[in-house]
Amino acid sequence: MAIDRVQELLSGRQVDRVPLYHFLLGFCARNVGYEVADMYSDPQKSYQAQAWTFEQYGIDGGPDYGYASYGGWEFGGEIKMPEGEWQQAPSHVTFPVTKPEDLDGLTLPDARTAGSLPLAMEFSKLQQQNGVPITVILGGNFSVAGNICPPSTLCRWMLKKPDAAHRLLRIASDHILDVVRLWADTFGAENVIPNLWEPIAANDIISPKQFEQFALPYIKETNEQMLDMGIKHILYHICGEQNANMPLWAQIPMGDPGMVTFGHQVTLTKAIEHFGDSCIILGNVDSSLIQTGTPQQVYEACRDVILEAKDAPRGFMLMSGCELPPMSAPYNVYMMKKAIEDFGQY
Amino acid sequence: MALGNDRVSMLIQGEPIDGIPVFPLGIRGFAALGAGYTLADAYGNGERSCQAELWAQEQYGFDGFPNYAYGVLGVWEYGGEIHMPDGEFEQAPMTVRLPVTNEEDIEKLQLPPDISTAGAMPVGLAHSHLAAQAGRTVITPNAGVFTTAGCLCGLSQLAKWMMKKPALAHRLLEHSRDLLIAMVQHWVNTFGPDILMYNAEPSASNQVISARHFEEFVLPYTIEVHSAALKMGIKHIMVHVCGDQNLNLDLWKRVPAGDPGLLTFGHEVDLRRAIEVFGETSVIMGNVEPALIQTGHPDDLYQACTACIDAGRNAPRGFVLMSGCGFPPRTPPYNFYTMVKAAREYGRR
Repeated sequence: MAIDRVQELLSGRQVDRVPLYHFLLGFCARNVGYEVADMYSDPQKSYQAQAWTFEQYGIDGGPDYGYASYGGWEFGGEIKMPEGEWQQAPSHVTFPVTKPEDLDGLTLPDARTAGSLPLAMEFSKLQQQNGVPITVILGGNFSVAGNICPPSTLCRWMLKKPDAAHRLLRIASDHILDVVRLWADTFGAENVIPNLWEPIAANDIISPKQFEQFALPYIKETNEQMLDMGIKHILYHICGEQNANMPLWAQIPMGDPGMVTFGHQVTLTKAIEHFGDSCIILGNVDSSLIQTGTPQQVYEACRDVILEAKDAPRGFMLMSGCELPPMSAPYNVYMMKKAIEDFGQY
Repeated sequence: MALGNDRVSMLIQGEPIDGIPVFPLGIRGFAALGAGYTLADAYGNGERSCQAELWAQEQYGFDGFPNYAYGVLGVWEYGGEIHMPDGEFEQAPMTVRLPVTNEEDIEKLQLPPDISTAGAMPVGLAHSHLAAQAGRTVITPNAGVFTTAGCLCGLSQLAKWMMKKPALAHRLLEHSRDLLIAMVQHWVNTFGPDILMYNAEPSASNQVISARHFEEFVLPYTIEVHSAALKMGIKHIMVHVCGDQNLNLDLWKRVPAGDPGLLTFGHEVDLRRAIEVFGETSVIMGNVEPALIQTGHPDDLYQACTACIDAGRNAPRGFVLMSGCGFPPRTPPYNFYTMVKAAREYGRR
C-alpha cells in the first residue's frame, strides 16, 4: 500500500523502495478534469482529485490541503482563487497589515472560523475518514508574518522598525500554535503532522543574520511547543535557496523523526549532513524542469537526486523541490515514478 | 517485418492473450499533450507524434499500436490546404481550401506523382518508420473512400451531387479510390505486406447518408479498395464504422476485411448486433462514447467500459475495448487511466 511507505519510514522501518512524495495540488485538478481553484475551495473535490491522482501515479502519502499565501485571509485580508491559464494557487488581493498602525488593531483570529481554516478542517475530517495521515498546512512563522503584511514591508521593518517586525512574528507564532492546538484537540496530537512551509525566509529574500534574529527564535519556540503538545512529527518545507540558513535550521527540533523538504537550490548531501540523523529527507527535483524539461532530463534529474540521497540515515523520499506545476506534462511526472523503479529500490 | 507483439496484434494472429485488450482509437492528440508537445505536433511531426504515442503506451499500459490519420486526409494530398490544430478547442487538422470547388475541378484532379511527398504523407511515413523501428505493428493512415471524396469537394457538395449529378459523385469517388490504393501500395512497398490497412468512414454514417446511398456510392468503391489491399498481401484491415451506421451494417458485411478483419464501432451501434453481423469474421472493437471519456465522472466511465466488455467479451474472433471514435485530446488523464483499469480488472480471462 502506497501510504504505508511513509508510515514505515516514520516508524523507523525499512521500505522496499524510495517513496514518491507529493507536492502537487493544481496538477491533480487538471489530471481529473477539475478546476485548479477546486483544490482550495472545495475540500471534497480536492481530496478526491489527489486520491485519484496518487492512485494513478503510485504516489505515497495521503492528500493534503493548503497553499503558500496562508495567513492573509485568516487575519482579515483578501485572497483570490486561481483562475485562467497561468495562476496555480490562491494569491493575495489585500493584506490585513500594510502600515505599523495596523498592528495595533491586529488580533488573533478564531482558528475555528478564520479564512481557509474551516475548509482545512473539513479536509482533515476527510483524511480521518479515509485513514490517511492528518495534516494541517500552515506557513512557517516568518512566511505567515510575510503573508499578513507584504513581504517587502516586513523586510523594510526588519531594517527600520524591528519592533514592528517582532510584533508581527509574535502574533504569527501564536496563531500557528492556536491552529495546531485545535487540530490536536480534534484529532489527537499524536495523529497530526503539521506541515509548515517557509518560502519567505529564503536567502533570495533575507540574510542568514536576519533569519537568526527574526525567524529562528520563533520557529524554534513554536516547534518546541508543538512537540510539547504531543505532536510526533513536523514536516517543514525549507523552500528555495536556504543554503546559508542550514546550520540555523539544524537547531530546530522537528520531531522523531522530522520530515524536511528542500528546494532544488539546496544540495541534498549538505541537507543530510545537517538533518540526516534526525529527519527524513525529502526533495528536490527542480519544479520548473518538471514542467519545461524533456522526459529524459526529468528522468536524469530524478536519478541524480535518488542516488544522492536514498541512503539518508532516517530515510529519503523523492519529491519536487517546490509545488509541481499544474501544467506539467503527465509523462514527465510519470518519469519521477520510473526513476524510482529504476534507481530507488532497496 | 512482422506484426508487433501487443495484445491486439496477437489477437488477430490467433495467439492466446490474457485479457480484453484496451486500445484507444486515435490517441495521438492526447498523447502529444501528455508528452508536453502540441496538437499540431501530433499531426505535423511524425516522429514526435509516434514518440508521444509510444510514451503514452508505456505510461498507461494500453494495447495496440501507434497510428497516424485524421478526418480530412486527402485534401492536402490533392492540392488543397489544411490548418493544423491550435488553440483550446481544435483537436485535429481542418480544411482551409478544398481541391474541388466546382464541376470543372474534378477533371483537373491528378493523382500525386509521388505519394511519399504528397501532403501529409511524409509525416505519416515518418510516424510509421518510428513505429516499425520500435517493433510495433504498422498501419496505413488513410480514411475511407467516401469520407476522402467528401473532403475533396466538401461533404454537402458531394451529397448534393449524389442527388442531382451522380456521375460527378462517382467520378470523385474514383479519384478517392485511386488515391487510397496508391497510398496503401506505397506503405506495402515501404514496409512490406505484414501491415494493417486502416479505413475510417465517418461521412458514410446514416446521420449523413441513407443505406441506399451507401450501397450505391460507398460499398462498391470500398470493396475495390479493400480487395486491392488484400491482393497486395495485407491480411487484416481495420475499419472504423464511425457514427450511426446501424442501417449500413448488413452492407458492410459484404466488404472483405481480411481474416480476421478488425471492425470498430461508434457508440451508436449496439455491440451485440455488431457481433451478430461480423463476429464470425472479425475482431469487434468498441465503443465507449468519447464525450463520456472526456467529460464523464470516472465511476460512470468505468461502468460504461464494463458494459462494453460484457457485451463484447464472448465475440467469436475476439473483442477489444476501444473509444467509439477518436480519443478526445483533452480527456482528463485519470479518465484514461480508468478506462485501462476497467479493462485490466474487469476484462481478465
